[in-house]
Amino acid sequence: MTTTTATSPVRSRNTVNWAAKRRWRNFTAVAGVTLLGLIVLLAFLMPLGYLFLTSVKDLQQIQDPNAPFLPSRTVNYTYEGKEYPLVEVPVDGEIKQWALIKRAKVSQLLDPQNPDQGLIEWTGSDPSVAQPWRQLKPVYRTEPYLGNFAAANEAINIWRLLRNTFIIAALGTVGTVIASTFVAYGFTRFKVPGKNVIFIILMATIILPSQVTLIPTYVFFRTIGWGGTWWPLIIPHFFSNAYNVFLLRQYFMSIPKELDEAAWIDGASPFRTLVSVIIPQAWPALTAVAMFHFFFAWNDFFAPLVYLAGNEELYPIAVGLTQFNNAYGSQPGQLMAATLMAIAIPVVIFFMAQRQFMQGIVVTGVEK
Amino acid sequence: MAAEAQVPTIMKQGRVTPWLYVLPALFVMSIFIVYPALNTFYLSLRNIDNTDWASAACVAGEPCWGVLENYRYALTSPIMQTAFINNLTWILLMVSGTVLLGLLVAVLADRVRYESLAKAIIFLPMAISFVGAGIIWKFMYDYGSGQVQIGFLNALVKLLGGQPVSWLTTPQINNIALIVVGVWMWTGFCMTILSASIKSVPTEILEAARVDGATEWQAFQGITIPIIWPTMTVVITTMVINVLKIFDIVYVMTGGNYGTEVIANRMYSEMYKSFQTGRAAAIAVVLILVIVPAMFYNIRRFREQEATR
Repeated sequence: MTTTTATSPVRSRNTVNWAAKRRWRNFTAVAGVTLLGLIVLLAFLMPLGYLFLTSVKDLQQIQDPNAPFLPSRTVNYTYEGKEYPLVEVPVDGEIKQWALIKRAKVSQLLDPQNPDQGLIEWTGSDPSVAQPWRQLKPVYRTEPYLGNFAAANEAINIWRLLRNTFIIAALGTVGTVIASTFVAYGFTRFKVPGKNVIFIILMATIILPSQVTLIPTYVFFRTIGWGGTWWPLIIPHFFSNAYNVFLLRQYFMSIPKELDEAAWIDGASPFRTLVSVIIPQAWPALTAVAMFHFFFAWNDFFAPLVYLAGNEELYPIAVGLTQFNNAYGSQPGQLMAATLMAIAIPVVIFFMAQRQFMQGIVVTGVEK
Repeated sequence: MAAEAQVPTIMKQGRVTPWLYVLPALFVMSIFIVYPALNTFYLSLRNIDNTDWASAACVAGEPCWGVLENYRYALTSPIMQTAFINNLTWILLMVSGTVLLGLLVAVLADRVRYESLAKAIIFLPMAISFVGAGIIWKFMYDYGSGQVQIGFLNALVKLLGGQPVSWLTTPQINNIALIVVGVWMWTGFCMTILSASIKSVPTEILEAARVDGATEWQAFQGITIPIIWPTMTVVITTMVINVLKIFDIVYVMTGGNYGTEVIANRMYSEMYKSFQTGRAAAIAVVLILVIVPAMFYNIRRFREQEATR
């Protein structure tokens, strides 16, 4: 509900005398707000824009200090079987694009438009300069380079990383959605002794830093022989997760209990009630939970790093990307291409389900 | 009506059924929370490889806290002091940065037509992993030794005629640089929650104030702020907790070197780089103790809300 003051009927009736002044103030306010907003948005987008631009440049394009912002390369002209760079030459207040044939005190240039004219001698405007041709700026043509993606894939097998990540994330998502639904149902619809205490402890786990519990959990998983496998990354989610339980509980509490009672009178068991009454109404919350977990698993770095240590075949994208980062620091184009591929899927999913995502943040954030 | 008389609780339930539903949560709590928490506390009192009490590491003639020796390290060692100061800087700058910027965007977005697009852009960094963000920003901050500056920020500095800066290795500047990344990632979170709260402010009250001649700013600080204040406190405490736990950004970008150490990263280094289990556990306990007040506040507020439900 956006209410702009200018269109409000109440407003205009009461402030007729002020109309002109207000209109001016509104205009400057709107202009200022728009400008401020645009600056903030641009500042936030800049890193991603830079990521994208760098991913479509080759090493030479990235390192060329004179190159324009967009991926570009210098243009060459073939003359008598050899390649010569095109440069921008100021002639009579006009910029001409000529090929630089000979670099010297008196350089030789050629007009590609008019090659029959022959070589043109050029000394620049200031005769005291030793190498006047250095003043001539090369001509650039915008040309994205797409080879980084294939090269990055060659180096770290991105498809395998993405496949691994997808399997871990998808299995965990299925597990946590099912388990969290059951637990949240238990908390909202049953009288369990000590329910509140259990719930508060469960909530505390959201806040507890994962690093704190990681050491003993790590030891535990190694003891039962799950070190170096995916199981520690998947199985715990089949036992629900506090964050998701909380989100679903808040949602289930808003579903009228009269519906449960009606189902009970019709002879439905609690399980049947959950499946046929609660779940059909809770799709938005279930979608949010599924997405949160998928994102979490997709982006999780710490746990896979610790549990999969050494078992490269099983690495998910976050770990693979870090490895690539450490090994290929000198290939920024490839690194950015790999990063772009790694973030593409979460970003696309986010844009498709933006509403559920933000709704979920609000429920867990505000009411916590 | 008859149904209510027949069913005293919401649903007729056996003794066992409710437990079946809550069981996974209990399981997860005991295996992954209660046991690890207790074990961490125990390990924090033990020596480097859990073969003796921590007091065994004491050397005669040097200060020693006995069985709490690991805590002496966690609380007084120079590297941990740096970590505490840095965490404090993080809290001051990142919490105020994310909350104020989030509030600004929420207020601005509320008044424009492209609201959902604007919010999506601000929120987008949250959808990107810390690893991805770390790599992107490391490149943004890149410092080339020669003439070539491929990092965005230094390219910009050069364009404006300044001297390139080594953003990530210059003390103090590097902490700010890391905090900027944190703000970039978390502003969307604050914005989303604050935006929902701002939309719940009744339009009639704002209209009435405007009719009475209040400026937008007066209406904002006199009406909007007091109404959304409870939400703001929750956002602030949640952010304080998140910032205390901050790890990934530091780990990926500087590894805690050049004076950028933070508590959680130190814990990781002790555990997996120096294999000092006892010290790592002691740092973990200290981290919990620091977080507890904020956690307590949030839970109390949650219970108050439950009571009014």
